[in-house]
Formats: sequence, structure tokens, C-alpha cells
Amino acid sequence: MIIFKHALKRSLAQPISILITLILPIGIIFVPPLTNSYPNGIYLYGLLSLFSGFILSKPIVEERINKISVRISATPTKYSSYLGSHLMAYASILIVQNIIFILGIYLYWKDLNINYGLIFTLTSAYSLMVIALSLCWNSLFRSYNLSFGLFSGFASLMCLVSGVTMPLQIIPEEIKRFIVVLPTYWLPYGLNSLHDGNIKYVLIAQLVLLVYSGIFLLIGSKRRY
Amino acid sequence: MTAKIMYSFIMIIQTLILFITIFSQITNPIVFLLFIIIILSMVLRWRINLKPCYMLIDLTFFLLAAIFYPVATNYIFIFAYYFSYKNKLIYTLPLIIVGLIVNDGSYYLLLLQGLLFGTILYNWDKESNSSKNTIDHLRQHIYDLEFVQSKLLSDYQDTDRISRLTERQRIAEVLHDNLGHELTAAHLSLKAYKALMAANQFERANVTLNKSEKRLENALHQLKSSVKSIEPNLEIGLLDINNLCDNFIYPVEFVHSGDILKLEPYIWQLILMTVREALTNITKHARPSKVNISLKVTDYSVRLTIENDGIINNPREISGHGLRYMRNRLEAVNGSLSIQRQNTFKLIIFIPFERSK
Repeated sequence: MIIFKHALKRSLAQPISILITLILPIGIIFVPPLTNSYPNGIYLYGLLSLFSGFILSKPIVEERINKISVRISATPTKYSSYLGSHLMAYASILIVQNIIFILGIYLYWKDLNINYGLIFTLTSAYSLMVIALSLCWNSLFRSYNLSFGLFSGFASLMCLVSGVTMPLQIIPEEIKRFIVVLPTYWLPYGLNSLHDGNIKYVLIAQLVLLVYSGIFLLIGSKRRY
Repeated sequence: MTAKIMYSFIMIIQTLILFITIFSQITNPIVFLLFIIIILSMVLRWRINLKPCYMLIDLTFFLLAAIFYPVATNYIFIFAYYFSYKNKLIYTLPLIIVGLIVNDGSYYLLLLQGLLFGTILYNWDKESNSSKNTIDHLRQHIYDLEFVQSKLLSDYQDTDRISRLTERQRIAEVLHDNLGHELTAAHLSLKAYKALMAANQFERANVTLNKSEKRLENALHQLKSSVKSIEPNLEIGLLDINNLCDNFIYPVEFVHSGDILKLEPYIWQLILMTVREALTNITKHARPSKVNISLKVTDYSVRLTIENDGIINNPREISGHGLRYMRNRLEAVNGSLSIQRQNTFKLIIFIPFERSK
């Protein structure tokens, strides 16, 4: 619990964390729908959440680079407890971000017929996937700046082709066969399914995101010094 | 490349084969969900060392899924690869039963290749592990032997020190028992002579003086015989080296300088061991016309040089086990071993020692 509190305080101490958690979600609420679907801001939220998760995971990378994790390994603290507490802290912040965003949607788009509970579970599953992906991605690099630089390009491209920044409806079916492997695809897919009333597929999208979280977590949690 | 890396590499290929197999239906969320579940299952095994029997839970899940979604049968050939790599072929029985139900040629083909790759990798892993274990065992054995050898040498030095003390004790006893009596008697006789001379009893004084002289003669005689009886036969070491040289197949010239009698027995043992090992090595690895052995003893060290002119160029032979053992044994007594290879092959050992007190 001490590590969890420390990770939470440390993340919230960064002004950029406040900006991405509280200000930016409010900013994208007003983006109107482009096609016959939900307001585009809900889809763009996937991009915001992706970068939020990545920026929030910075301390854990810095601790690895600064060899703090080596010192921690010499203490009675278990690596699983250290990692779990950090990830829980980041997940908590992202879930708060989700609540703020969904509350904003509820207040601004009053006439929108939407299942807020499912939106919340879907965005929460997406947030978990984002944190696990950030952990996995960062585990491949020894420098946060290099990692962030490459991730910016990769994430933007991934969001563009997987229906986060560009509506899925305009992406050709042939390309869709390939983009299903992208984890970000499953947020707009889930949202579209929700819009179409296919609750079963919304749940599958959530499951896929959770399985992705598990895979990324297993790869990223490998202890590296 | 280890079998484990190869296993991961083939697992990636198996996953790609699976992806290609289901590619036409990949946009179906159920198909994709099953696909990433199987990836999760394999990543979990890669990350955490779970017992192969736990994989039966995953297999059961896919078999149950196959009841509702027949496409799930396309996935299960990966389990055949996993189980055969873990040498649990009995667990592949459900897969064969499914094959009988499905009765599809491509299913059998995928199942067969999975079994084949898994079995080959298992045997490779087993073989490489067995060789690795044998090498480790032998290495451990060599280290143990070296340790025992150095301990023995150290014990030998201790024993030598104890025997030297015992010998000193014996010499002291010999001197006390033989010389002590005679010299005490001579001393008393001389005192009596002095007293008789003072009392002007010249005749008796003369008799006493003669007795003293006789006692001193006896003491001198006993001193000589004692020295002879306690003196060690220090020529034995030299004789051994001479014997080795005389019986060697190539001509050997042995020269020595300095007081070789001051060498301790354990140093003699090291010298003999080195000469024996060096001559054996020459027999094996050189074709000399002549071998020169030089033993130089100074006040605080001994230097032995063994030189031969029959070098055969093979650098691998320089650091064999024999030389390594020799070096370890010499280092145990603060000595050193060095090799010079120019026109001739020269083995030099240097042993420092404390001067006997």
C-alpha cells in the first residue's frame, strides 16, 4: 500500500499528469460525430488514453534506468508487489480519467442514447491494456526519450489505421483483416458494436482487450535491470 | 542456439501457421479472441514455468469451445507441439480423438508436424542437457581433485614440520645421553685436576688429567658417531633424478650447483615430480636431440630448468592438465612455473624456501 500511495503521489505530482487526466478529456468531449456513430471525441479518447498511460508509466522506466529497481530488489519488497502497486496506481488514475470523461459526455451529450456502464467497462479494459502495453514497450528500451519518440510515431499510426482517429466505417474490409491484430482496434470496434446494439460483441471486445493486457503484462513484467 | 530458443522460434512459426489458417475468418471477433487466448496461454508458459498438466485446462477450454465454434479445432495442433516438447505424448490423446471426429487431412497434417517438431526438440534438449551435465560433472571432479591435491601438499608440509621437530627432539636426546655424560665427567675431572694441582698432589692430578683427556676423546668419538647416525641420506633425491635421466629415451645432461643438501624433502618431491612430468611431456610432444636439466640451489631458493630442442609446433599442447597440476602444486608452496618457447622449449620452476634453522 505504501508503494501504491507513493506511485500515486509521484504520478500526480507531475503537472502533465493533471493536464492529461483532467483537462484534455474535457477538451475532446465536444468533438462531434463524423459518421453515423457516437461523437468522435469518444473514439479520440482512445488516443488520449494511450498517451496518458504511456506518460504515466514514466516513473517505472526511470527507476529501471536509474538503477533504483536494483536497490529495491535488495530490500524485502517483492518485485511483484512493487510492479503491481505501480500498475494499480496508474490504472486508478486512468479510471478516474475515464469517469471524468464519461461524466463530461453525459453532461454535454444529453440526448445521446448510450449505455454508460458498458462504456465505462470498455474504456477501463482499454486503460488496462494501455498500461500493460506501455510497460511492455518500455521494457524494450533503455532510454525513456527514445522509447517515447518511437512510441509517439507507432501509436499515432496505430490509432490512425485502427479506427481511433479515423472512423472504422471508412477503412476497407481487406485492411480490417490485418488491423484486427492491433489492440487499439478493439475500442472503436466495441464502441461501434455498442452503437449497433450488439452487446455480445462489446463484451468480446472487452475480453480481447483484457487478454491483450495479460499478454503485454507477462512480457513487460520480466525483470530487467 | 539452445533448444529453448529454438522452441520459442518454432512456437512463433506455429502461431503464424495458425494465423494463416484462420486468416479468412479473422475479422470474426470469436475467432480472434480464441487466437489471442492461445497466444496468452503460450506466453504464460514462456514466462512462468508451469507443469505441463496445467495445459490440459487450456486444452479443455478449446475442446469445449469447439463444441460451439468448430473453428476452435484449428487451434489445437499447437497443444500437440507443446505436449510433445514436454514429453507428455499421452496428453495428445484428446487431439487424436478430435482428429478422428473432424476427419480432416489438414488437421492431421498440422497435428503431425506439431508432434514431429516437438519430439525432435525434446530429444535435442535432452541430448544437449546430458552432454552439459557430463561436462559439468567432469569439471567438478577436476576441481575437487585439484583441491584435494593442494590440501595434501599443505598437509605434507605440516607433517614435514612436525617430523623436523621430532627429529630435533631425537638429536637433543642423543646429544644429552651420549655427549652430555662424557662432557660432564670431563668437566668434573678437570675441576678435580685443578684442585689437586692447588694441593700440590701432582701425581694424582696427572691421573685425573689423563682421565679428562680420555673422556674428551670419547666425547669426540661419540659426537662423530651421533652425527653419522642422525645425518639423513640426502643423496637419495639426486640418485632419483640421475636414474630418471639415465633411463630416459633421449640423452639427458643433468647439472647441479649450490648446496643441494639444504633442500627440504618436500622440495625434493616437487623437483622430482616436475622432472618426471617434464620428461613424460617431452616423450609425448617433442623430438629432441638433447635434454638439459639444470638445478641451481641458492640460500633462499631453488631453480630448476628443463630445456629441450625438439619443439613440435602445436600451441594447444602447452597448457595441458599435467602442467596445470604442476603449476597448482608449485603455487601451493609459493613457487612458480614458466615456459619459454624460442628455439628451444624451456620449462623453469622456481621455489623459494626458508633457510633451515
